[in-house]
Amino acid sequence: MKTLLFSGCRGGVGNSSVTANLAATLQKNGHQTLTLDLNDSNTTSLYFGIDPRSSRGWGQALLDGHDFSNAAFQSNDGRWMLPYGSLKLEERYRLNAILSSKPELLSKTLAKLKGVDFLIIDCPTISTQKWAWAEYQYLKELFTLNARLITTLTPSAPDYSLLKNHPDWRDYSALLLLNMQRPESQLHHDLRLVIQTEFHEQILPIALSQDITVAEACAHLQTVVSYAPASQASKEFLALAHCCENLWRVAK
Amino acid sequence: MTREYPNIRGLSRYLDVRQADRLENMFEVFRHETSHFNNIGRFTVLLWLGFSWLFLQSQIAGRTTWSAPATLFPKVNFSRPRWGDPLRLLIQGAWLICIRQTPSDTQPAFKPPLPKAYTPGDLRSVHWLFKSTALIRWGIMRAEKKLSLHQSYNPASDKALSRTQQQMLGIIVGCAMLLCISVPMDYQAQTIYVCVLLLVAALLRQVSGRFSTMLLMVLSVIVSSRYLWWRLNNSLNWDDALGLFFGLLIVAAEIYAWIVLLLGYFQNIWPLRRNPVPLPGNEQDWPKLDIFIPTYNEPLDVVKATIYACLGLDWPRDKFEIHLLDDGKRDTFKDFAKDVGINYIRRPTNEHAKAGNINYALKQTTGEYVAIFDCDHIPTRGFFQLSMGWFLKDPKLALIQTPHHFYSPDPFERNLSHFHQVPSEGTLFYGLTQDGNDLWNGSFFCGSCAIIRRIPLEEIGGIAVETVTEDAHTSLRLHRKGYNSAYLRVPISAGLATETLSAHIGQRIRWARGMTQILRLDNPLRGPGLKWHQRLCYFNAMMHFLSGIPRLIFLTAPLVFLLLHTYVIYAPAGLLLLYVIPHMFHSSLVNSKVHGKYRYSFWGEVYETVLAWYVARPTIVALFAPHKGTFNVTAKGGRIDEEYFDWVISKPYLLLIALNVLGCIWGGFRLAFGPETEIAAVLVNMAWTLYNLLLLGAAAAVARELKQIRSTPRVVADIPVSLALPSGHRLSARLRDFSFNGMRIEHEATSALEEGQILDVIMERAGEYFAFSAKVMFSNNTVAGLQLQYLDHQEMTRYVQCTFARSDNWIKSRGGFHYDRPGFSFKQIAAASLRGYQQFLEIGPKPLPQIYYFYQAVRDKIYSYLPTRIQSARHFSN
Repeated sequence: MKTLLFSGCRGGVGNSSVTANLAATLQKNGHQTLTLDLNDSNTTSLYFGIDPRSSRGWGQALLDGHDFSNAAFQSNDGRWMLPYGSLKLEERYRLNAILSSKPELLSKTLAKLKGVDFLIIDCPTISTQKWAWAEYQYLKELFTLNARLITTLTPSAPDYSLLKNHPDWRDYSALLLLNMQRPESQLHHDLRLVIQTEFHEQILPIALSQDITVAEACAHLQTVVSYAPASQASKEFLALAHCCENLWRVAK
Repeated sequence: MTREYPNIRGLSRYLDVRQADRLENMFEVFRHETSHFNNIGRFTVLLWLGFSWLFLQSQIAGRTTWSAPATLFPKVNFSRPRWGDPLRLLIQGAWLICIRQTPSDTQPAFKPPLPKAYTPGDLRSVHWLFKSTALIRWGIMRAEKKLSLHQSYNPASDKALSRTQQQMLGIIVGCAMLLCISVPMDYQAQTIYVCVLLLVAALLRQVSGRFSTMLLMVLSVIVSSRYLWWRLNNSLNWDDALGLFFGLLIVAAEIYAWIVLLLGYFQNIWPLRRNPVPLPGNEQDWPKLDIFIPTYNEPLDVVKATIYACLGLDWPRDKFEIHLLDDGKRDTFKDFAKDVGINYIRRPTNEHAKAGNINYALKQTTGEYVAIFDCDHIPTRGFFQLSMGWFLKDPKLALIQTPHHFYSPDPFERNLSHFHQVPSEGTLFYGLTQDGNDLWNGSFFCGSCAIIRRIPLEEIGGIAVETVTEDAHTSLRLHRKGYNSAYLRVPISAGLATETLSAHIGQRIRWARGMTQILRLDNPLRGPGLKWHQRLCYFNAMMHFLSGIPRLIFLTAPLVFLLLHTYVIYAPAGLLLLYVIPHMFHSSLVNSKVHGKYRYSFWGEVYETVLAWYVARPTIVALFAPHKGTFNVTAKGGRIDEEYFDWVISKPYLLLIALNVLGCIWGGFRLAFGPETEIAAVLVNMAWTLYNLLLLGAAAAVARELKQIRSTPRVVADIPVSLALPSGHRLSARLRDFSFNGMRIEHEATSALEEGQILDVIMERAGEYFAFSAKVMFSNNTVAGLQLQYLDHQEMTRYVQCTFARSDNWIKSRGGFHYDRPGFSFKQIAAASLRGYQQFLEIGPKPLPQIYYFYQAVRDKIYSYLPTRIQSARHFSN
């Protein structure tokens, strides 16, 4: 099992959409995927057509001491999805308490999963700095799962400044993925060049462009590959999936 | 909605819908594709259907009965019976009874492949003959491999033997050759001799590599020289003045062909495949360049593309300057140059055309190197990075020439419709000949897509102005001064080919005249400074353009015998064949092997035939009066609105065709009524005439100008792009072709693009993305034609960089040719030739089309009576 951790450099960079669409693309390429949403906002489930108000999720399962497999959903193309679940505030506190006391619990439970090729995890953003906190130790434990961290960002000045000022992501040898870029815009072009030259070791060769199709697909409770296979976004996700399939080969 | 019943018409009134549908479908089976039922047909078919329904089983031998006539008699149209049909039924019926039928569209039964026998030259073979040929083959290939281990083996500078050793070897080989060539032999000996050589050639042909080609060349030289020796000694009729006159003419033409053959072998013996040399890492060390774009009367759009491409060249911007040399003195050009920020040079006078134009600009500029692009040649971005390295490596290098690649079809390719299928006329020169010249340090300047070092150029007084082919003359002078030239066979620029046949011929006339002028004024065989091999290279280039008269002689030679009853070749036909067939076989074998991908067999003859008449006169004039004649500019970038037959230009071919047809007919009479002793000679000459007719037919086919709809030709491509729609959607698409002001794209979206909407086409180039605004002009399911909206100069530069000037553009489009297959090539030419005659007959003067249509009608009529193999039953469902 290969694990991809996706973490936006801040909120709103399209991290959930990248996670969900990449999962669909990898699934289409013949890999069994499992998507896991670690954010208590519980929005990734929308891309899978799951009711975000449902409390079913890994959080509830962990609280109840159940097996994860009961909490998972499967979409019609075979993707597995583990949402956070819609939890009450008090339940979230309890869950956090469990995770901080037993940081290896989550990763060990995930490690036991069988038949999954790609585990794709939608993680909290870099800007919250949760990665550095002691009670979020469980995030670090995820790296025991043969994982690569990918930080999504947009070609914009705030994101560039975040990358420069919050070096957390460097500690986990994260890779950078540019999202929502407009290739024809001069500003995006320049910022992309700056980011590419400054972080040339971390930046992925694929960049995703801004495309209303992605939002449309989500509004239709679908992913881009199934909703609009002829779109540029769909082609870019195919390229990204290909890139992710080969990440470990490069790392060796 | 009620269905209409065109087949059964009123009959449907008496039937219910299901029955009517069924009957209509049954009638449909009896209908031929382009015709409709008439009443007799309806009656006949109805009669048959009624009969089969009442009296016959519904299936006989597993086949439906009612549809049997349609299947068994495919040529009879039951829907419209004709008077000939009973006869057709009889013939086909008899044939069906006598011959067992296997329906032609069923799969043939699987046949196991035959066990593979040893091929001659198989190392596994136990047969001594096969084994030994295999060993020879292997040995030759191993020897060559050993040599080519030294990356840049250059036989021209091979010092394995000392000078005296070389001379000794030369004398020995020369004597042996002379012996092989001149020893007279009788019938039997000559037959054996020829057979042995043919056998050796057939064996060598299988061996890949250059050594075997060289050995084949040696064989060919022996055979051809022997033929010529025999012709000179034994086949001239010294007693008959007329016969001797024509005989000598033919021999002279044959000597010319022999010289060109030998020079060609010399030239192509070891093409030097030069690779680019890397430049120093520090851009500061890169030299300063001047780019000259001479123009005279070309439209601004053609020149714009070149200028934009030059603006986008990958070379430090402060290290090159672009000069537009406008001899047309047009203000629009001046304004445009000012707008894009390039230098505009206009000279007060106009003497010496392009050469004078460049020489004037030389005085106004200072760069260390001068690059010259014809205004329609678009350089790719990497042009200088790929080519300049050699100048820095070799300080004596004065000239680098790169190939002229054309992205639009030339008249041959367009009118014979074989663009990208048959290598064009120029492919041989730029693919092979220049590389062959390069080995002997004799590659020459071709007027465009080349870089010249300024100091040597100024030393020889600039571009030569004495002849109309200033390019070759300039490089000849550079060579005379002891400078080197280089040829880099990488397609790093592309241009427009000539539009029409008349323009093409005009251009070739200029080249032919110019080369002949050089031969007279600055003969490469004489004069100081040249090595003997350089002399031969230049001499061959000039000889090549003198082919007009000899070709005309070959096209008419057999007529002298057929029509005038004069023996021009005074020898028995059998003996002649014994000498001439090996000569032709060996030379075409070698040429096919050497030319390979660059020129297919027999096409050279077609090209020569087309030009022969037109090149003949100017070359003779230039030979005797080299200063006569004017410079004509080659027109490019236009459109041909209507298909037409160029009667003016094809007049000489028509005359030659008429003569040859006459010769053929008269030959037929002589076969029938002439003396029996002549029959062999008549047959040989008639075969020759037929071959000439084949070439002439192909030439006539080229004179039929096909339409060229677009004024700016489109370049076929396959480049991924994305489309940004105004709605915020992005589509992934592929660019299928592009021109200077539009493109065609293909996408996979389920709905077509909206016509008239404006969108952005986003193209990638070396990691950078550029958007170009375009309007959808037409759109159907997945294909859309876009027209570029107004783009400013910077955007146009980027557009040209993303399209025309992509470095990989032309490499892909030229690798596509397979190796020469002589039989296939002959078939192609025969097909083109037949088409030529057909077109000529269709649009010829009064009686010809009528005769042709009559012939067609008779042919079709006869064909309609011939029996045919049956197809399996046409499918019919209820």
